[in-house]
Amino acid sequence: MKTIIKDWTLEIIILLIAVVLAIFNPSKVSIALLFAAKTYLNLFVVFGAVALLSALISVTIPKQTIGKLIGKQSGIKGILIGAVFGSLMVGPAYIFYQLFKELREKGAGANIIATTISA
Amino acid sequence: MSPNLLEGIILLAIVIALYVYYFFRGDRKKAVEALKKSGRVFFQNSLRLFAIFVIIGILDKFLSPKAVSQFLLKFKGFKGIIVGALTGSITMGPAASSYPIAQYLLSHNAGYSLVAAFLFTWVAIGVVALPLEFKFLGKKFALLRNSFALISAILVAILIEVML
Repeated sequence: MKTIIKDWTLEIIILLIAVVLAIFNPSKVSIALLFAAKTYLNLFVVFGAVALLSALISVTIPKQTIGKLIGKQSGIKGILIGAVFGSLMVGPAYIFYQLFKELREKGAGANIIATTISA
Repeated sequence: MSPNLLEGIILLAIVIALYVYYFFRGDRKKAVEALKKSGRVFFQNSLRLFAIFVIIGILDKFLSPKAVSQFLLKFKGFKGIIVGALTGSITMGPAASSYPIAQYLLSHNAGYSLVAAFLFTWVAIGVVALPLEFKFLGKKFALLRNSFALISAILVAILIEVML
C-alpha cells in the first residue's frame, strides 16, 4: 500500500486537484477531461507500439549489443543513430520515455538519449 | 485521421512484424514474455500519461490566454524575461496554442524578449511533467536538461532584444 502511494503520488495529486476544481467549476473540468481523452485516443496506438517495442528490446537484445551500438563509447556512430531515430519519432517525446528508460538500463549513453530527444 | 494516429499505426505494424519474426525464428518463450511485460507497461504508462493530459487540459481551461497575458504585461526589461520564462515553464501545451497569447502580448507592447522567453519555455520546459521525467529518465538528467533549457531561453531572449 505504501509503495503504491509513493509510486503514484503525482497522479493522486492531479486527481485531487481535478476533484476540487470540479466542485467549483464542473463545466471547465469536464472540458479538460474531454481534452485529455481526445489527446490520449490520438496517441493510443503509438503508446501500444512503444510498450511492445521496449518490452521486446528488454527481453531479447543482450546488454552488450546495446552498449556497442549506442553506449557511451560508441562515438559519432551512436549519436548519428540517435539523431536519425529521433527524427523518425512521432508525437511528443514523453511517450517514448519508457523506451529510453529501457535503453538506459541496458547501457545506452546519456549523450545519445539526449540527442534522440532533441532531434 | 490525425497524423499521430496514422504514423502510430505504421510504427505498430513494424513492431508487430518484429514480434512475428522473433516468434518463429527466435525464442518463442521470450516473445511471449515480452508480450506480457508490454501489457503491464502499457497499462501503467497509460494511467500516468492520462493524468498529465488532464492537468494540461485543466491548465489550458483555467488559465485563460487573457489572464496570462494581463499578468505578463505588468513586467518589463530583464524582470520581464525572467517572469516570461517562468510562466512559460508552468504553462504547457501544444506550441500552436501559445501563439495567440504571444500575439496579444506583442500587440499590447510587451517586450520582444519577454515573448521570446515565454515561447521558448512553453515548449521546452514543463514543470508539470517534471516528476514524470524524473521517473523515466533520472533526476540528474532531467534537472540538467531543464536548467540548460531555462538558461538558453534567457540567452535567446536577450539576443532577440538586442537584434530587434
